[in-house]
Amino acid sequence: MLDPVFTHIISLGLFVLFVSAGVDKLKNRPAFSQVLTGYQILPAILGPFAAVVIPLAEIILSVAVLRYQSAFASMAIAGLLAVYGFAIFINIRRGNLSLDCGCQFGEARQSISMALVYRNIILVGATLLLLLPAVDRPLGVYDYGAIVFGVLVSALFYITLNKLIANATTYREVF
Amino acid sequence: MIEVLVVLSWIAILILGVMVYALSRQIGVLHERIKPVGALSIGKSLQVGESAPFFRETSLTGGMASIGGESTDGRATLVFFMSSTCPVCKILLPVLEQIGKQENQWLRLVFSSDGHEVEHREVIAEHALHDFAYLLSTEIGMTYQISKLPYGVLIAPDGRVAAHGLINNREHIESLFEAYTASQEEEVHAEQLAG
Repeated sequence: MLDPVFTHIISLGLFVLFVSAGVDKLKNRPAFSQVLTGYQILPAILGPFAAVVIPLAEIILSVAVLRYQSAFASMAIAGLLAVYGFAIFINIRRGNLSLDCGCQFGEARQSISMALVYRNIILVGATLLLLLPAVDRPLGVYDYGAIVFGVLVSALFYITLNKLIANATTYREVF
Repeated sequence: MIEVLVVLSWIAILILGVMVYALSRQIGVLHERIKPVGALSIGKSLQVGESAPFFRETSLTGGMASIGGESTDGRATLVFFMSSTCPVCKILLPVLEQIGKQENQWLRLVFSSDGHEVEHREVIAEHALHDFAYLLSTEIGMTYQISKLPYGVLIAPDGRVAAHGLINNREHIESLFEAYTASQEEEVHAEQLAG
């Protein structure tokens, strides 16, 4: 049994993550399409098509998780995260180490690394927690405070972790 | 009461989180700034004070150009080893173009690279490098044993290597000039002592 505070933190966190990622991808469609081609998993013809469908799916699924607590949407999101992690893993195995991971479009390029795979495994785990039955209890002001705090802290940890992974990767490449 | 303490600790954790994030960003910025600086002056065969290997080649910008040997016009030569694909080189080209024009009185700027001529012609057109000699020869880089790019070699008018090193920013170029000026002053001083 999961306390509703946790389910709210996770679903709100996923919502923020996927809506920002989806909007970012839609804004940088050509760049995202290039990143997809770089991964060499989808047929090149599907690139421009997938560059629209994937971000739209991310946004719709994260809304479904937050608004309707849809179990299907949670599984689909976990699936997406797993596919991303797997795509990175395959390319590491292929020795394609300098591939741009597409983590940050506007900013500097960042190569793929195992750390990104582990990060995605953690995210998949957190998403799957949503499938556990939640305790049914009314939420008070204090609970909402805890939810806001939880989301802010998770977001901070997430961006810090990403920054550290990016730093470690550039360090490996440059020095 | 206990709620107040918990909320205060949340605030403290959030502030700490922001600070950790800021620190990790700073590390990223540092990495950007200090890229291969540690490899300064790595040319193995190049020795300051020894005469620089002489080359005379056709320049992509027209005519013949030489590096090394005694200068006919009394100017020093800065040979800039680069590649058409290295990002740092591209960032430095406008800086070099500016320096080349500003220091025209005493300095001759020569670009040296290898690879496909078409790409280099594009670079020349893009960065308006028509006023400078641009040599395409693998041999020059091999003889000077340039292993990292972009690399700068400053050759004094008498044909001796005055300074050399890896160049990643304007300061690195200026440090080559400073080393050159310092050695010139030393020479003048030594002559005065002898005279």
